[in-house]
This record gives sequence, C-alpha cells and structure tokens, in this order.
Amino acid sequence: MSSHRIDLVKYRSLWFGISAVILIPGIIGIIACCVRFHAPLKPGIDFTGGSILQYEFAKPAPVEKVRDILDKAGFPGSQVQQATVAGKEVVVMRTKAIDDEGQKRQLDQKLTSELGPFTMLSQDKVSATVGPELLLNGLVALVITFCMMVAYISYRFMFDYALCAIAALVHDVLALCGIFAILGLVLGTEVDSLFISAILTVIGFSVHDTIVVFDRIRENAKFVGSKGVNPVSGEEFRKTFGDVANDSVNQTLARSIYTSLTVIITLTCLYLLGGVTTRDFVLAMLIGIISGTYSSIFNASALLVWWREFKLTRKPKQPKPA
Amino acid sequence: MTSQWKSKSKKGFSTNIFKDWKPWAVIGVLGWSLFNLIQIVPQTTLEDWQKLGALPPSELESTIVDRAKATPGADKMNLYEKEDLVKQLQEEAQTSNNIQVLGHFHANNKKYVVFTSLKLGLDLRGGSQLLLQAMPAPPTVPEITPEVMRGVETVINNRINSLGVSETIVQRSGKDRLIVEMPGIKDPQQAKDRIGTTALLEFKELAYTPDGHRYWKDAGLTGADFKHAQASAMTAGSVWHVNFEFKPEGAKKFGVLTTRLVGQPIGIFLDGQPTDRTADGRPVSIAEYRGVNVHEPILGGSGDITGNFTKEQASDLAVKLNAGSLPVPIKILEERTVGATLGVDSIQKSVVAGTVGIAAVMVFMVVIYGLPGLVADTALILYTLATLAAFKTIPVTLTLAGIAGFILSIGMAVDANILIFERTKEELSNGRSLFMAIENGFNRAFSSIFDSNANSLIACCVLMLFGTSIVKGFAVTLAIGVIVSMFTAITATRALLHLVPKHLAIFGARHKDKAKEVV
Repeated sequence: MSSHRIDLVKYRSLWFGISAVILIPGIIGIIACCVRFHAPLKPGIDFTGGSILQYEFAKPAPVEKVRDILDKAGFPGSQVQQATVAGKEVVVMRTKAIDDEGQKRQLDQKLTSELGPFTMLSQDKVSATVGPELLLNGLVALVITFCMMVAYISYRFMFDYALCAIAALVHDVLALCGIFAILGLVLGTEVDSLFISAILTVIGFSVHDTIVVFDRIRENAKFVGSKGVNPVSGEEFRKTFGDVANDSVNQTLARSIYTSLTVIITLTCLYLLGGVTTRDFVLAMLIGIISGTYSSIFNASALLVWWREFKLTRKPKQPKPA
Repeated sequence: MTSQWKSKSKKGFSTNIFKDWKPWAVIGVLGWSLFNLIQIVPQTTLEDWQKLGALPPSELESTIVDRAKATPGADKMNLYEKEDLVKQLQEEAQTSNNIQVLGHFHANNKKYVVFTSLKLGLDLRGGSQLLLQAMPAPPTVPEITPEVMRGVETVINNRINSLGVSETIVQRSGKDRLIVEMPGIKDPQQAKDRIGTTALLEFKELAYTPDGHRYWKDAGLTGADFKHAQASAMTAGSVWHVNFEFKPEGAKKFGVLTTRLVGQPIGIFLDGQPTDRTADGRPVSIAEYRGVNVHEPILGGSGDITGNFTKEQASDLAVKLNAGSLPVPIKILEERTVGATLGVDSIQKSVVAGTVGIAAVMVFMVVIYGLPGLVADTALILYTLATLAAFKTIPVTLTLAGIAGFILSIGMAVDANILIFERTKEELSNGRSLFMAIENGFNRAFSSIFDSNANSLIACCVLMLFGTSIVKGFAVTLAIGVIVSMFTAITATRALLHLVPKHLAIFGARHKDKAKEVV
C-alpha cells in the first residue's frame, strides 16, 4: 500500500506545476483565438450563422471546381474541403447562411450540371440571427450550473469545499477550452452547441469526482489530531488536516482511477467507432474527464489543504499541530 | 452490550426482508424491461402496419376511421371501444415507422418478426428539421400576434401535408416560431420551396405616373378570394396553367374588374413577382411583364393563370393557392437535414460503439474484481435493458447525442459499483465478515453515490431547460441513465452479491469468512 501512496502535500508544487504545463499553452491558444477569430474558440455555424453542405458526388469532384461554382452562384469566399464521412468521399462546403432558397436550388442545379449527380449526406443552416441566441443560452446554462453546484456542495459540505471544487472545475473547463482553442488554430476544429453540453457534462463529472474525494475527507475529518504512526521511522505523530486529506485521497485513489478508466473506455469506443457527427463532442468529453480525474485527485484536495493551513496560520491562538 | 444484542436481532430481521424483496425487484424490473422492449408479430401484420405508417397525416386519419368501421364487430362496439380501436390503429401506424428488427423465425407455417421499437431522431433516420420564424410585415401586420401565428401554422400545416410525407410534425415554439419535422423526406429542397414562400397572389392593373411611367397598381383582389385552384396541361402538353375558381364575393369583384378592363392587361403577381416564367424558370422582370389581356368580362367566377409553367411549377402554385397564402413572410432560421445514408451509417456505428463499449467495460470489471465484477456486469446488463425500456416507454427520441449520453452513463453506472466494491474491500481488510463488509460497503458508499449523482442530475436539468434540441436529447438520456443506475448498481448488485455462494471467495474473503463474526 505505502509504495503506491501519493503525497499530496509534499509534492504540491509538482501537482500544480503539471496543471500549469497544460493550462498555460491553452490560455495562450485562447488569446490567439481571440485575436484571430474574435472569440475564445473557433466558433462554428451554430454561433456565427452559416451553411454547411455535405455532398457525395458520383464522380470525383475537384475542390477548385466546386469553389468556382460556389463563387459564381453568389457565395464567394466559401470553404470547400474533401473529407471522408461515413466511409465515403464527401465534399464539405461551408458558406454564409443561404437564406434564399431559390439561390440554393440554383446552386444545386449548377453542381449537378457541371459535376454530375450527387447524394446529399447532410445540410445544416443557421441564420446569423439565431447564432448569438444559441450562444447566450449556452452561457446562461453554464452560469446557472456553476451557481447550483456551489449551492449544493455548500449545503452538503462546507463553503470552502465548494470553492475548491469549483476551482478544480474551472481548471477542467480551462484545460478543455485551451486544448480546443489550439485545435481550432491548428486543425480548424470548430465548436458548436454540442460543445457547450460537453462542457456541462465535464462540469458534472468533475464535481462528481471531487465530491467522492471530499466525501471521504469529510468522513475522515474526525481523525484530525488523532495519533498516527510514521511507517518508516515508527514515530508517533498527531495527524494534521493535510495528513487526513492525504489518507482520503489515497483511499479513494483506486476508485477514481477505475471509474475514469471505465468512462474513458466507453468514450474511446464512441470516438473510434461511433458516428462522425459527434466525434469532436466525444473528444471534448474525453479531455474533460481525464482533466477532471486529475484535478479531483491532485488539485481540489491540495487546494483545500492549502486553504485550511492558510486559515490556521492566521489564527495564532490555536497551536499548530506538529 | 445490550445495544449490540439489539442491533444483532434487528439485522436478522432486515436480512429476512431483504431476502424477500430485492431479488424479486430485480426479476420484476428485468421482466418489465424485456416485455417492454421485445415485440413479436407475424410478418404480414407488420407489413400491414407499415402500410398505414407510410400514409401522410391527412390520409392516415381517414384510413384509420375507415378501417375501424370495417373491423368485424365494429357495429356492436360502444363509443369507448371504438375510441380504443382507433387509438390502437394509430399506435400501430406510429410503431411501424420506428422499428429495429432483431430477428425472424417460423412457426405454424407463418413468418414472425422479433423487433423493438425505439423512437429514433432525425439524425439517425434521416430527415429534415426546420425552425421557422414569422416576420412582421408592416403596415398590414406590424406585430406577430397569436392570431397571426395560428394562421401561419394552419397554412404551413396544409403545405406540409400536401407534400404527402408521413409523420410530419408542425409545432409552435415561442412567440413567433414554428418547428417543422419531416422524417424520411426525399426532397428537402422541394419542402423548403413550398414552405418558404408567402404565396400571396395579387391581381394588378396597369397605371401611369403623372410623368408617364408605367407601373402595376393593386386591383384589390388576392388569392384569399379563391375557392379552389388546379393545375392542368395546356393543349400543347408541355406547358401547364392553373385554373381557379373564386368564392362568390371574389367572383363579383373579378367580374367588376374584368368588365372595367376589357381590352387592357391584368397583371398576376405571386409574392410581388410576375407569375410568368422565363426559360430558366425565374420570374420575368416587372419591366418586361405584359400581363394577361382581358378579351371580355369574366362573370362566371373562374379563370386561369397562364405563364409558361412546367408541370411542377403549375402544381406547386396550385398547392400554394389552395393552402392559402401566409399572412406574413416566413424565414427559415435553422435547418438540420440528414440524408438517409448518413442516418443508416450513424445507427450502425452507434450500435457497434455501444456494444463494444459495454463489452469492454464488462471485461474491465471482471479483470479488476473477479467474481464481483461478474455480478456488476449482470447489473450492467439489467441497467442497459431497463434504460432502453425506459426510453421506449417515456418515449425518448434517440439522437446521436442522446446515444452518446447513454453510453457515457454506462461508464458512470459502473462507478457506483466501483465505489461500493472498493469500500467492501476496505471493510474486509479491516476484519469484517463478508456479509457485514458488503452491507457496510453499500451503506458507506451510498452518500458519495447519492451526492455525485445528484450533481449530475443538476447539470442535466439545466441542459434540459436551456439547451437546443440536440443538447436536450443528450441531457434526457443521461438523466434517465443516472436514475436507473441508482437502482441497478445499488439494489440489484447488493441482492446479487448476497446470492453468490460464500465458498466462491469473492473479494478474496475465504479465510476471513471462517473468522467469527464481530459486530
């Protein structure tokens, strides 16, 4: 047992350091996104408005030709890509929102006459007026979830537990957004309204994980000040809050890792084998859940210990247990 | 000492109770799930249902009424029985559109089909979802009132029905919006063309401005005065026109107008554009439009619109005129259309991902925990069946995101088992007997299971309240999963664990089992 023990308090700077290594490039990515896309992440049509058409042509359709047809049909500056969707070669066209259905019909006719028949795999349109509405709804949902979680944890635990859980949660959301900001810059990954539900799920999972650890700390808190034996030197000592938190984290460690593994297994299956449409959504959840597990083990509890110690040093009357 | 005695006798009592109901609850849930999920009917019956299900909503209703009348013994039925019969037929039609065949078998010279019928969303079946917004049209309609919306809804409903597609839904959303769902639609572009236009038909007369410019002046007669319109071929064959008949009042107005304008043109405009078409199908420009010359007063209240129409254009116009014109213009705010091929691919992939995901988690549990892992796996199978049965009963429309939520919830359902097993192992290493370790494991893990699940549910509720339809689908499946897992992972696993014979040494507890029980 003792060989697998993680010392939360002693290596605190290491745990926070690992987080920083992930978060800082992410934050830089988010800033870069703000400069390039005027948004913290590369927004998809759900937020900016636009149309995405996925057509499978019977004959190979050269990307330049498609772009040319789009230009002439009144959609200059459209993005055209070749992609493999559902095992088929598909042309993906991203244009401004096509509000005039007559124009759309003409475009379809032109594509057929110049490139041959095609099958429509999917077409999505979000007009520019709904985009901000979807974004606002998403942000409202995020804020409400935050508040409700703080309220719930404060009610079941204590306010400082809630603050630490939220800190861990912000860590996870930042890590997720940071990685997606970088993906947006490098691969052009866009975020849609499903991304907001990925964030909310990650919030749920992160708090879920943190609660399990905190639940154990709450249960073990009665041992603060009790006698402990140093396994190496055999010396007796009085347990501090840090020691108790350490014990608690180690007691729940196996569970934290196993649970995350089962979720990671199912999500990986979904990522590799599931539908194309939800791939980025699943990737977002995977990142968030890995980060959530890490932060609940290493950040939330370490932060709680740090905070409690900080409070103790501010109350000089109470002798610090050695 | 006395308190220990008490607790011991109490324990014996609760043991009996638990031996009584928990395994039964498990069997009950399993039975309910299977009964709900699996349906078996003869192939011919199913085909008959599917024939009903393929009808567009307007025809479906009359066909069902006809069928109910033709049912043997229908004349002897009372009102309630008749109502039930109609309801049953409606359900059968609806079921037939959402069928996932599991297998076939032959018995008594008949072919039977085994199937389940989960409701699949448009992204899995293929189809189109549109979000429409009614735009105010000042000065006539400065604001979208509930009355205006009712008019819009009726017209859109008529137009969609005229497409002849089954299972279409038109739903109000908010103050000025409509959600239109058209599963399995073959030509979404045609649907959008038909929905999107106002179809305001106006008759205009030529007038001149003081400085001699020619323009078309409103003659005060619109498509609202129509009784009926119909497309028909001109003698030549390839050119079509639209015949119409006015309502009595409209006929009077038309008679007065044509009497006044003998020898002069009348302009016919659809949504502000001349109805005449150029060779490429676009309306001719207003400057070039010459209108239709009136040769004699038309007093019979009928006439026709000529304009070089193709067959499709003419019937489209007739449909629009019959459906009525929209009181205000409509804008398509959002469109999500998925072709049938992508839908089929998504279903197959989701099934594979789900099966592999569950199997991998099950293997993982056995590798980590051995026999108790197998117990958790049994609970997981029960969980999967019960959740799917819940989806079917409620019913939840399964979307791709919804399936992702369900598969995610599998990972979370196992979490409760892991928490409990880890606790049980700890209790065993503290010297408890196997029975007490399991009981303590469950009791002490409960608070963290409850708190963490309550939190997941909070997140789900917020998603349901504020999310878009995709997001809602995800939240609903996740929430149902979390609730069902509270039963299967706690009650079912507990009952099953106690049923495992003690000599099988679960959690490596054989040697401790022989130790005397310390309470």
